[in-house]
Amino acid sequence: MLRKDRRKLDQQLDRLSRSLVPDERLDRVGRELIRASRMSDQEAEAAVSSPFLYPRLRARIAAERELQSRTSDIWLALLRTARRPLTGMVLTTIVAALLLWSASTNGIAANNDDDAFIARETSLDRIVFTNGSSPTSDDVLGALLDQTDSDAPKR
Amino acid sequence: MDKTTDTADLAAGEPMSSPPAPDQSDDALVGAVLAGDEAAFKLLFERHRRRLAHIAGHFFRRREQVEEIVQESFAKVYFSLGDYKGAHEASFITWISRITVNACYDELRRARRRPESPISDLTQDEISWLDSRLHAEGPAADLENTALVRDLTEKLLARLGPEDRMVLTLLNAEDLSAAEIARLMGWSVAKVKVRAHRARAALRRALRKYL
Repeated sequence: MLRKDRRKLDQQLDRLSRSLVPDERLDRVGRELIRASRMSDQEAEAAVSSPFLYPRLRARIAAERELQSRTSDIWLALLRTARRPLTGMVLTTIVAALLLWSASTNGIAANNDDDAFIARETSLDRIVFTNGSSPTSDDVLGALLDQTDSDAPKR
Repeated sequence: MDKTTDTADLAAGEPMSSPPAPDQSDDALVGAVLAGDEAAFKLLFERHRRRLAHIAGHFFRRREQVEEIVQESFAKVYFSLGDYKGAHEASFITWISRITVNACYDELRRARRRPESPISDLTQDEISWLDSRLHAEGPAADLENTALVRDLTEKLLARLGPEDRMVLTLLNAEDLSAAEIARLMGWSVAKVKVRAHRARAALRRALRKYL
């Protein structure tokens, strides 16, 4: 039991000593490690002293250039292929827009005609079309009664 | 000029130009490369490859990694020469250094995403070394660049994010100021300071873990 307590106490002391290491010291060791582990100038020079490095770089540049030109070729080919359908779509859109425009201008004229037509129609039609809102049940009933009254002398 | 380039130039119907003078300024050489002179690019490469390797060597410890970064940076330089503004904005060396630092940053981010690079634990030797260093009074005269120091640093830095790693390395290995780092990375000075503060805290946590 005593031994167990001792071990626990040791662990706690250990943890405490860790937390007591000042930040400055940790920073200093971190700085020293980073500084010491960098490549020396000689090592860095040796890394780029290979006579094959420049030819490899040229090969890399050539490969990248080829890739870039291939990508632009793909785009050009896509544009070339899509040219006809695109032209057709643009023409269709223009025709559709023209048709829509002409239909809307005719529509205005037709509305005017409707007014004239409605003026000649029966009272029921007049109620329905000229108000522009749905008729109430009273309106419908009134119109029916009017019609019944107007039809009555014919008989 | 290598054989491939000669062939490519001839195939493109470009006239063979005389080799550029080695004492030409960087800006003049950039102009020559843009005009199609491939030999001028080789001269730029010969002139600055050591500097770029030196920068990459602060972030990566393996020779192949440094070589790869230098290659990648020069390829980027080649394709971005049209964007280089000349002496008005920054010198050529500052411009290519920025490209290299960004290439290192990209590689650190890629390495972080790679599943085959797990964060490994420290060996008993490394822990003992760290313990003795942390309990030693005063700064070390000059730490030896041993395999143990390199591995230990690599393991500790692997616990940090790429941004934290960048800032700590530029501050401690390159001895750059916050303003210089901000210019290199395209960040604000405030961001560099905040990042440096967080990076130091993260490294402290990583070190405490092994005490």
